[in-house]
Amino acid sequence: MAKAETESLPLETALPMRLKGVIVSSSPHELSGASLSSYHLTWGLALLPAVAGALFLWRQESFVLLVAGILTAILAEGLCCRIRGLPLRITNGHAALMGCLIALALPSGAPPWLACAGAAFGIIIGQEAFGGNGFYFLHPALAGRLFVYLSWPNYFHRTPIEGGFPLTLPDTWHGIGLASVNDFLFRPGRLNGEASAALLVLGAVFLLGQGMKWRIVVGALLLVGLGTRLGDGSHVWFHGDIRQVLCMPSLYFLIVFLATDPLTTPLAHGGQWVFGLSLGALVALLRGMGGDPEGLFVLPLAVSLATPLLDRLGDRRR
Amino acid sequence: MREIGFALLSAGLAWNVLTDRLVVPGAALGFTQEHRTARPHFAAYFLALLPSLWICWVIAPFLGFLDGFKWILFLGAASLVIWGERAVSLKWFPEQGVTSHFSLLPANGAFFGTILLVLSEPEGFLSITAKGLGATLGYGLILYLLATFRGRLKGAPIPKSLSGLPSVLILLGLFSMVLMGLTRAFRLYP
Amino acid sequence: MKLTSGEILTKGFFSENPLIRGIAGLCPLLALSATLREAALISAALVVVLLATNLTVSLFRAFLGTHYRLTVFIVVAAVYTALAQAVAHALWGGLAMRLGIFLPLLAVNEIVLGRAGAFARHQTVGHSAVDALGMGLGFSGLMIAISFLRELLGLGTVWGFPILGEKWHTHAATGFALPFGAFLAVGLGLGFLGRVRRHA
Repeated sequence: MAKAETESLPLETALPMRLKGVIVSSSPHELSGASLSSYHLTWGLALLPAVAGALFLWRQESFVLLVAGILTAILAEGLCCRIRGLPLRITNGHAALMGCLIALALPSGAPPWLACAGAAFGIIIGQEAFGGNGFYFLHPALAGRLFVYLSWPNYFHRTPIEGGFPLTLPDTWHGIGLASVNDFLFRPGRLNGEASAALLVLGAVFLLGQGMKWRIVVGALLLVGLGTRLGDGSHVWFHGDIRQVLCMPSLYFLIVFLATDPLTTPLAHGGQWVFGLSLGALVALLRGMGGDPEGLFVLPLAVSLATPLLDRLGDRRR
Repeated sequence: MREIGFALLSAGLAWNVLTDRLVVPGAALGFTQEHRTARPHFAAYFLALLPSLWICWVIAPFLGFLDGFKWILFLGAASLVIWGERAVSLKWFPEQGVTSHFSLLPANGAFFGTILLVLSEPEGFLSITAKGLGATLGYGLILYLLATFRGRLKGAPIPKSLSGLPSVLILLGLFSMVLMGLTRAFRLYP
Repeated sequence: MKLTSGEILTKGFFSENPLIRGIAGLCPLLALSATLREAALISAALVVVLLATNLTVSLFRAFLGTHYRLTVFIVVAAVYTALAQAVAHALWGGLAMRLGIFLPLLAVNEIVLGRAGAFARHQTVGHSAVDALGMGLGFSGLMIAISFLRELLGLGTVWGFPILGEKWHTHAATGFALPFGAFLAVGLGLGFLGRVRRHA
C-alpha cells in the first residue's frame, strides 16, 4: 500500500501503517518482520562501544544487568506473542535492543531484578498492550525506566560504584585544554551505559552514517548548548561551560539513542527539528531549575506525547 | 507573581485531576473518541469551572459551621452556575452544541472534584483562580492527548481483551507516569 | 422485561457489572483501590448510598417530573452521602479523612445516578432495592479484588499487615500504589475479566 492510499485515511490511523514498512522516509524500516532487520543490527552495533565500556568498567554487575534486561525483554515479547497467537518475532532483535537500552539506562549498581522489572513493564505495557512492535507511541525502554524510577526511587540516588561520579556535579575546574579532553574520554557517568562520553559519541557517529534522525540530535544539542549561555548566573548549571556539558555522557545517551526511535518521533523534517529543539529546551530547563538529574530520561517521553501533533502539522503543510 | 505561576503549573501538571488525583469521569473517557466531540465538552467545562469556583470561594467563609459538609452547598452553587450558563447557551448560542454538555456537568466527577480540591486549601482570590485555571488547562491537555492517541490506537492491532476501555486506561496510566516523572524531575510538588 | 429478584441481584455482579459494562463510577475505583481498608470503606459507603437513593427514587417515582430529573437524583444522593459521611467520620475517623474528597464525590457518582435514572425510576421498591444491592456488591467485589492486588504488590501489605515479610515490604513495587498503578491495574484487570467472559 503506497503512501497515496493512506492519504484518504485519518492521519492517526494511517500513521502506524506508514511506519510499519510501507514507508515514507528514505530507508524502509522493517520493524515488524520476523527476520533480523538491518535497522536493529545497526543500532546494536552502535551500542557496542558503550556496552564494552560498561563491561570493562563495572564488570560483573554490568554483565548481570545486561543479561537480565535482554533476557527479560525477549521473554516478555515472546510470551505476549505466544499468548496472542502471533508468530514469534523476537528474532527481530527489537526486544533485545530494548532490553539492552534499559539495562544501560539504569544506575551501575542496580540489582538485576530492576532490569527485569523495567524490561517487563516496558515491553508488556509500553509496547505489547498497544499493538506490539511498530505500534507503540512511547519508547518502551524509557517507559520501563520510568516505571522503575517511580517505583523504587531509592535505588537511583545511591552512590555509584567507585570509578564513576555523579554526572551533574558542577565541577569548579576552569582548566580547558587537556583536562576536558581527559574528561571526555574517561569520565564515567552514573548510569550503566555511561562508561565514557567518547564511546557513546563513537556509536552516535556510526548511527549518523546509517541515516538516523540527525535533526533531533542537532536541535537538542543546539538548545542545550544555548542554555549554558543564558541565565543570570544565579543558577550554577545554567552558567556552565559548554565543554562541561558536552562531556556529560548521559546527554548523548539520551539524545542519540533514546530520543531518535523512529516510532516515537515525528516523520516530517520540520517536526524533527521541533522535537529536537523542545527536547533541548527541556533539558536546559531541567538543568537550570536544579531538577533531579535522573529526571532527564522523562523528557523524551514528554516530548513524544506531542509527536502526533507534530506529525499532523507536518502532514497538513504538504 | 511567582506563586501564581507555580500554582498554575502545579495544578496543571503535578495535581492534574485526571492523572494524579484520579478523579476520572466517564465523560473524559466517553467524549475523547475524536477531537471534535471533546472540544464542546471542554468548552463547557472551562466556561463553568471558574465562575463556580469563584462563587464557592465567596460563600465559603460563611459556611464555617458546616465544616466537613461544605461540599453540599458547593454542589448547589456549582449547579446553579451550570444551569445559568446552560440557559444562556440554550437561548443565545444554541448551534454551538455545548448545551448538552452543560447538562452533564453536575455529574462530572472531575468538575466537582476540582472545586473541592482547590477549595480545600483556601487562599487568596488570585491563587484560587490560578489553581483553577491550571487544573482546567491540565484537564484539557489530557483530553486533547487522549483524543489524539485514541485515534492512533484505532489503527493498531491491540489484543482483543484490551481493546476499548482497558487500553484507554493503560494509556491514561502512561500519561500519569509521564506527568508524575516530570513533576519529580522539576520538583513541582504543590 | 420482567426479571425475578434473583436475576436482578446477580446481574449486577456479572453480566451488568456497572464498572465493566457501564464504565461508570471509576473515580473511587481508581483513586481508592490502593489499600484494602480504603476500598472497603468506600464500597460500604457506596452500597449504602446506592441503596438509599434507589429506594427513595423508587418510592417517589410517581411524583418525578420529566424535567430536572438529574438534579433531583443529585439532591437525594447528596443527602444520603452526607449521612454516610457523618457516620463514617464518627466511626472510622482517620480512615474517612484519608478518603478525602471521594466520599462527597459519591453524590455525583455515576453508578448512583445512573441506576436511579435507568432503573429505580421505573421499578418497584423491592426490585430497586435488589438492583442496588446487586450493583453495589458487584462494585465492591471488583474493588476489593483490585485493591487486594494493588496493596500486595505495591506496599507489600494486606489490610495494613505486611504478611509476606519485611523484605518484600521494603522492596515492594510502589508503582502499583501510585496513581498510574491504579490505571494499569484496572486496565489490565478489566482486560483480563473481559477475556474470561469471552471464553466462558
